[in-house]
Amino acid sequence: MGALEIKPLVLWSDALIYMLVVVLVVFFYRLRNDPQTRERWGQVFSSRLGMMTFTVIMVYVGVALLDSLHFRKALPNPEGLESTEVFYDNKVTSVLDVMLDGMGDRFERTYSAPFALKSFEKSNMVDAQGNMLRDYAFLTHAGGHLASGDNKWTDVLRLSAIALAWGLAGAAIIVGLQWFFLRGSIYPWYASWAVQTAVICFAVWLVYISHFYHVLGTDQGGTDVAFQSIKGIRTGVLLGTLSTLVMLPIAVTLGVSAGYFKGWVDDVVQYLYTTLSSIPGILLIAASVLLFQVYIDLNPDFFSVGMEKADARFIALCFILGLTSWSSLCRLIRAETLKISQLGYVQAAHAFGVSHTRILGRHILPNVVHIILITFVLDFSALVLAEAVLSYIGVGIDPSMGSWGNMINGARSELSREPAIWWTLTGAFFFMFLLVLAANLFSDLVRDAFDPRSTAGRSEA
Amino acid sequence: MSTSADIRMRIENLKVRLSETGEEILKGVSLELRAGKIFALVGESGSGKSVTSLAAMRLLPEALHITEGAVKVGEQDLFDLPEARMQSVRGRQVAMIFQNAMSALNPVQTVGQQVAETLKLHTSLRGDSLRQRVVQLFAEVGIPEPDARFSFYPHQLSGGQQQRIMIAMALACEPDILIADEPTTALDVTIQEQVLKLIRELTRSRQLAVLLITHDMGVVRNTADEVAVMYQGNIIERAGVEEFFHNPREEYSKRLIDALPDLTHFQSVAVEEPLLQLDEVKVHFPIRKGVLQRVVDYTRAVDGVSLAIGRGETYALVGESGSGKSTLGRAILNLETVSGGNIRFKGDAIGSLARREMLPYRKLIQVIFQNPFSSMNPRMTVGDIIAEGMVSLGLGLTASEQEERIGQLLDKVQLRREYSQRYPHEFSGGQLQRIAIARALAVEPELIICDEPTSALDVSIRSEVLGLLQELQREFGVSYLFITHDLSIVPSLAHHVGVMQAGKLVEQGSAEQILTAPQHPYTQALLNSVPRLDPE
Repeated sequence: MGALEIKPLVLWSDALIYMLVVVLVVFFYRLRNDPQTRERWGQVFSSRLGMMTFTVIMVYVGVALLDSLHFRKALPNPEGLESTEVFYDNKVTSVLDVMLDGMGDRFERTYSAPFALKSFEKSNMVDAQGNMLRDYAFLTHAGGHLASGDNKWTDVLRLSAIALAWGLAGAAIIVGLQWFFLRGSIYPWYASWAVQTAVICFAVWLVYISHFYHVLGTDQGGTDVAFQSIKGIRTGVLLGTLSTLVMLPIAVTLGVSAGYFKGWVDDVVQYLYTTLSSIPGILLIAASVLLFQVYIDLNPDFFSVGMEKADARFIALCFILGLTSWSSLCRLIRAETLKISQLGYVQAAHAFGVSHTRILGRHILPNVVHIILITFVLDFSALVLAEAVLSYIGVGIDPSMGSWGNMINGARSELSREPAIWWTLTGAFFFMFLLVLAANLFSDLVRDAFDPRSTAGRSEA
Repeated sequence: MSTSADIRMRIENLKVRLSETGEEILKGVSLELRAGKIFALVGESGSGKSVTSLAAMRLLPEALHITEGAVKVGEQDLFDLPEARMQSVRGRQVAMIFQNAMSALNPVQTVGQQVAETLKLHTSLRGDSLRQRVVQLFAEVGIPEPDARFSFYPHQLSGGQQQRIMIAMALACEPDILIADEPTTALDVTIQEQVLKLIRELTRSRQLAVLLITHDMGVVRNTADEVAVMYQGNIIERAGVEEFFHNPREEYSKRLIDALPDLTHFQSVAVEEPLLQLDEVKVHFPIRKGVLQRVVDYTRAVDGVSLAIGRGETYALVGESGSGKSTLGRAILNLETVSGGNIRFKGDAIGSLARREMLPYRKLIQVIFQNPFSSMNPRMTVGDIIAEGMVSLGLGLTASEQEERIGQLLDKVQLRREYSQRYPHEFSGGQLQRIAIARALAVEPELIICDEPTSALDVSIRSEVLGLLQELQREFGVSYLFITHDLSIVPSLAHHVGVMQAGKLVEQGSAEQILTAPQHPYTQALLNSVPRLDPE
């Protein structure tokens, strides 16, 4: 039996996210035929900013997808035990962990600053003479390769140069391939290639350097902060998309039926969302999460590994966020449907005796898609930020699952000590900031392209 | 004849380009505005008439820029002035009024305050004398009880009064030149006439030089002293107004003039069996109030209308906005619930049928809407749009038969067959209205309700669409209920006319009878406000 025996493990959130990707691909493939939609997406992607932000978002999504391929490694049989049964590690590994080349396995004892060689705190040690002394201990996984006289920063520069060369070589291959296939394209691909080159160089550099140093230091438990920040990507991206996925059907169904059928349907839907939006969101979410946590704790048999427990809580959080945040989209869609159902083509459809389902499917829904799209991209960044807030007040993601909110939560008290421990916060902030900024800029472009008011203004000018 | 001393503003060889593509929008426009005279700039949408006025005032949107030309007020070229000086020119020397008064007035300030605001900027009047001046202006533009109206908010005034307020604001600083961009287009005909009369009077009494921009030849006939026709960025013809209407040189000008009604020829009335009969039809909308939404009163949109439409006949339903004529059309289509009375189609009562029971009649009664841009789903191809009725009413055609039928229909409305693969946004308003007609014809109806089908179209296209409708009537013997606010298209089209006011049919009869010998005062008022070729 090989040492690399693995057992795939599909978490619920993994299944959902891959399903979502398939659905989105099919959806856009079908939209491809609609010239108006094509033209508008063309407008988004013909700007350099659109290309760059989209590439950044795609990198994040790619990382999240890689991090969603989970498996458990087989444990080597204990010595002396001759058994054909294979035991699997309780620790769940993802493809991303493998690609990061053990970055997550290089633990220290506790805090250490970025690129530090010694621990941030003193600990008891025994020197060669057997005397007890208290000093800064050398780190296990940083700077071990240095001879005693070497300058640390010259070494970092040397390693960076090597990593950069590798990164550029890799980028040249990947970009070159794209260039070969996309030569005649009218879109500004070079903007995307610039971002890709930067991302590839950064990734290669990070993975390479992390063999020798902790680039963003380590946290209280001694885990590499850069690694944690990267693991936070999956949580952020999944939370953003899955919550929206839960929210969309509710908002669209209720909004469209309220606007189209009016009368008592409208009354009921309006009653629902006014009630929902008058309950403070955070309280509602906190209460629901705590309830679900109790359920998880009372039913430990449902989950074979700890990761599944964390995953269940994560999915519950997505559902709760989705269930509590549909009211604003619902309101928008209701208003738009009210407007559209007064327009000539819906009236004409009535005059032709077209059935309700057909009118809804052919005339109303395709014409509110732009609102759904705009809300999807706008809400995405809001949800990523919401996760951070929720984790901060302790009702967010399970602490065993890496997330930016948890990192920020862990870092808050350490900021006030002197010298401050700033790197945990910086790591989480940097990765979250990049995603939210890209998503916001991209959503602005999408809104400009799809909002009928902005396009109307342009065509009249 | 006026001398060059009267010239207040001179636009010389004005050229404007689209910044992005370099396309030329104005190709060298020259004109002079004289004191006490109204200069009308006529043209259809997109001809560049509004661009001319905006360029003259240096108010062009960013996408456009001026490449050549001069605008002189006195000896001063406006294009040489710095922007700060230009601001004082706008308002003090040159004032503008726009089409939509409601959106130009601030809804949270009283109209008096808004006019006073303009006065404060340009004069030294303050306090009581300022208020006096505003009230005086209100009186001058014919606002009843000017003192009380000072503290009214815009929404408390009618459309005509709002436009009068705009005019008062424009006059506040005693300008020499007034630019009026479609000042009456948004108004009903009777009010339109009053506002135009006001502009005429003010031109004489204040010796204003007026540039009147309009697409409506009737307005020109009754108001202007001099006319210039714009077509694709050029002035193609320029003449005194009498000269122009009696002796137009250009073919295009003739077409514009031909759009005016000819009150000497009418459709002959043949007695026919009635296809559609309305008997005391009422449509009342409940007004609900309070927490429990009790019905306290009704809006009587249609209040007891009886009429009959014969086979192959056109019945024109005329009235101003809010008179209930569109609601009546929707009630016949069963899109509105009828509160009282009977609607009979070929003898069957169809007034209160359920959705499903109505289906067999859907095939027979069709509709064409006012705005061709909103009456087509932007996400469906023209072919799908035309086919929709055929599919949902189950005509049972195979795919190839259906395609052939769509082709035939496009032929009928004089469009190319390939158009069935295109999307609505690729077409002009006139073409879209043809598609709408094809869509209605697709199910071979016997009655088509035309709800202002031409009011969103330019004049020259309007007559084409009306001609097409008449041709189809002769060919298929289809009847029309023609809902319109525009009396001028009635004579050539309608056999019978009904005049609606506030939900009631105040007068009806044959077209000739109504248009030559109206009985009801409201019909007379409507007719008087229709611009005619020969006012005498």
